[in-house]
Amino acid sequence: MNQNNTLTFAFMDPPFESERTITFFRLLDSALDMGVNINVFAYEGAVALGFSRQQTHGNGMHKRDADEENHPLTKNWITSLRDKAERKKLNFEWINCGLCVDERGVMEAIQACSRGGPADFWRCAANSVNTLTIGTR
Amino acid sequence: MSSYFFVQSLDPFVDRATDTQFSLMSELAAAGNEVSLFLVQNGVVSAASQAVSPEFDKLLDAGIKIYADKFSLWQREIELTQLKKHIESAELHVVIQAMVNGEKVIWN
Repeated sequence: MNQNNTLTFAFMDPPFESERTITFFRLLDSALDMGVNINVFAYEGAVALGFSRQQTHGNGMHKRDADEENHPLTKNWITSLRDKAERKKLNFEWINCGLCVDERGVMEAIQACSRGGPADFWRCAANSVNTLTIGTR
Repeated sequence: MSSYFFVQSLDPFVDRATDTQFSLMSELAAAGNEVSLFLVQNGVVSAASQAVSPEFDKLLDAGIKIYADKFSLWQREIELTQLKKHIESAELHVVIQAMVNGEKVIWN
């Protein structure tokens, strides 16, 4: 494996909308499995992935309460990835685009996420062996 | 010569751009570049033997390494025995390895 084993990902999809979100999180999990440090630059709708006020809900049509429905929350996935990185002594930096946060009013992010801007994306990409931008189309 | 690694999430039956993307892969390979293709999400539909996609089928004999995501295949009930020739099922680790290797990884 390359000496510089840090990868940067740019992602823009909001939570609960697209299969890309699942694939994106699977990629991050795979990277940690392989001992790779991760930088994420979340912009546009993706800044809501770490919104702390996400809540599970039941499904009245199926007569299931919130526990039975077990609705996945992306904020929990981010925390799990951060915890996994810590266990493996890997870096896991998640930066939300501040402008995109303000536009959407999702300022209350979980602890694993920080606030930044395009300059941070540039810094992350410059310090990584490779960068993948996952666009919507 | 460069190494290109395409992650293909779109399928040709939904998005017209896909045929153009497959053509680009063919042209890059024909120009002597190393080209790999990882099919994921609805992108794996092209890999099924029943799928009619002439632009994709050109890739099968173009010297391009083609992978299909195991999870996406499983979600869509596409069995490994249903895959077209020269397609290998794989995990997402292959994408990460390509990135670590410094290949030009492009998401479609």
